[in-house]
Amino acid sequence: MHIALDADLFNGPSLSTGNIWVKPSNGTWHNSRLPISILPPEVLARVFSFQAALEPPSSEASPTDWVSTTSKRLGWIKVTHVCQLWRDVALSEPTLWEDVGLEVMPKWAEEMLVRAKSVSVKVRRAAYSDFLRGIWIGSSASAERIVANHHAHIGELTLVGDPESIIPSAELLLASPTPVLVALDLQIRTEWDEENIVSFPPSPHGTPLSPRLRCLTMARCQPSWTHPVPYALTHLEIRLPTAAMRPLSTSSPLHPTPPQITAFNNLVTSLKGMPALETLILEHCIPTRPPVTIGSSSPDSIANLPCLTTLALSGKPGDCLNIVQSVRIPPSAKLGLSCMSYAGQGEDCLILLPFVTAQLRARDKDAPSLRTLSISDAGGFGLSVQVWEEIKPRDQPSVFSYHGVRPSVHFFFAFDSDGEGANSRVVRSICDALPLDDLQSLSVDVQEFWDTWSEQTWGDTFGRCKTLHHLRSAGAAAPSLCDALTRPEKAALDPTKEEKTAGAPRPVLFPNLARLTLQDIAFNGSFALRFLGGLAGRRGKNAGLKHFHGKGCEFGPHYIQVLKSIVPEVELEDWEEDEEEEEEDIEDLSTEDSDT
Amino acid sequence: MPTIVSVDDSTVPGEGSSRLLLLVSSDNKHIVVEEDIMSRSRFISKQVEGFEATSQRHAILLPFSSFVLNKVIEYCSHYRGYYLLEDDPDAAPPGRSPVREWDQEFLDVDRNMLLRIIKAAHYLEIKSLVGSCARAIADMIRGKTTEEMREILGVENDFTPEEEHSPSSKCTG
Repeated sequence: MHIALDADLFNGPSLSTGNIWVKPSNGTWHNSRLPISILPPEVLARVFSFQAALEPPSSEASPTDWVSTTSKRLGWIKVTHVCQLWRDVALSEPTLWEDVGLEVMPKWAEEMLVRAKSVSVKVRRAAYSDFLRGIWIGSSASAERIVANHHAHIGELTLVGDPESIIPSAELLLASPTPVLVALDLQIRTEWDEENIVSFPPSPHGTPLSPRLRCLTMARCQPSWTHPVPYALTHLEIRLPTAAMRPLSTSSPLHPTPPQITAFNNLVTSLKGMPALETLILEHCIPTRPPVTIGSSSPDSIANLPCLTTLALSGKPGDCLNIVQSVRIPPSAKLGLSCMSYAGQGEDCLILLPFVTAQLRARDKDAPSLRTLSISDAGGFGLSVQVWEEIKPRDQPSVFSYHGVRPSVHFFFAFDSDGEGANSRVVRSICDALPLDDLQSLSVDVQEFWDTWSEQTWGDTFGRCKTLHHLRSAGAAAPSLCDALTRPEKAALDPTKEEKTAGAPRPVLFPNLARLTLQDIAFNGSFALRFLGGLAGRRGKNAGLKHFHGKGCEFGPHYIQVLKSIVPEVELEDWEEDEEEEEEDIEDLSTEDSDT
Repeated sequence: MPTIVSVDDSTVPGEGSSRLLLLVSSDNKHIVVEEDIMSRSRFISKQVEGFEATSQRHAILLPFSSFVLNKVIEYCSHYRGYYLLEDDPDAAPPGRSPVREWDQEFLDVDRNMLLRIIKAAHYLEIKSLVGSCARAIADMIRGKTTEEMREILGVENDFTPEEEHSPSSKCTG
């Protein structure tokens, strides 16, 4: 036996215990000779750290996913089942165990926390809807137990579920010393009681037991504002359901809310204690300040937030105004203003425009100018106006599809559009308030209320956008915009009364326009003739298009032929043929175009 | 530690605008490379600092083949002059490296080659390359069952029956 062992010594590792040679198991012997085993433990641990990110435990398991296998529920932890070496490496690397999910493996949470040793851990408890509670594997008791036993080294805590299970854990955490807690994310999920907004004191005695807490995110719950939040946060995000879904004055059964004026003052006082705040998102949670105090902000009552990069406010226009009057933020901060108009026409939202204009005017001269503007009716339930410094990728449709880059300014106004032209008046006011001289990309996608905009209005609103390069339009706004863009100079094409009375020649709208994208437009009759004639006219003035992209439009084949003779690049997508095309008119146009 | 040998001046071209290094692979191939290119390697940088102290030129013997070394040099050449956070010695310890498209194509090699590259990158202390390789290996075993991972990497189950079923030694969900 000794001889055999000695022979093996030349080929691979063995363990020495005093004078006795102990041969590893056959599997261990085999594994030690594999290419994967040449990796140092710290490199293998690095592989596992990626694995942990790609496959967190329970990532593919939910109460409704009955086919989830144990392997899927375990996520990356299954690497500890592969072989001795992998298990040893995983167990000896505490940072691999820092992300603790309670929902599927509550009984293992304690074990994972032990394996994390003294590393700051992230604890998540995600629950599902109430009617599935019976098959939850996680429990509020496990969350409370974890918090009670491990509060000292919880770095991030995310709790998702019903208020009865979440709030006790959160209150327990914040009442305990949590020296490494950096982020707290509380998300209340209630299926049946939309009006049940939970308020709780962020720190029972006003004493910050979480000195390193920097990120506080709350959904469907909020600080009670009985006193200021005592944390020097960099990220404060509170999201409540829309005001329409809850009473204006909310009182929690757990903690009564203070008078609104006290709550507002405590909110502002809290902000004053957050000089490093980078993100402030307040969604339908701004306490209403009595009108008597509006405009009375003294320098002492203003919170200076020099590091703020994002300010997003939702609520009544007056509440949002109260906040912007109570903070001083850098001109470069990105703004999101989402208001419910109670005046019915949206004009009451415009009280925020002076603030936006002042912010944009205060920008550094070297700051990037606004390059992309998107106007949309947001599916018919409001008006969305977004403007970016970046140039929008070509042919990206409107508001909902330009993900990834937060706009510099985003207005969202929801209102009851009974009166015709309500949208257009508000849009005109917003555009007038924005510095759009360097605009390069414009998207207008609205379905209603735009027929009141004449081509003159388009010219008055966007005539200053001399550098516009790409225009996209869809919906009801497109025909009048096309008319404004291509108003014919030649009486022979299809003169309208307006053209005859236009007087002196007007400058070409968007003289540098190169790309035009139109969607869902029917090019027929006199409109089509005006459009083609106008394009030919632009070309004659050195303002011709280089690229036309039609999507879902209706054309006749002759129109397309003429269009291609005017625009070098014509791209048509999902187009329909217009069978009633007037060939004679088109032939006339073709002749005139060739003359041009 | 690598073996450092003295090098004849004729072996390495004289100092110009960009100094040259001589790297010697385990299969005794001599590869001359600009110092700038290899500056991403903390190991090489430390070696070069040592050379400056002695004002002598040296070759650096490395314990991996020329095939692997050339792949590493290709990586360093591609990112020459680029700032990569993971390779910044003054930055915080790297977390998970970002996905870089070029890296994915560069590391589209067979499993054994990938393992050799990551080992070489670890030896040379090129953290960005270690991170990209680690991500590639993690992708390789992502979503696989324990058995499938064993099959892919040729690993045998070396747990004793007691270890395999011991609740204290593994999380079974």
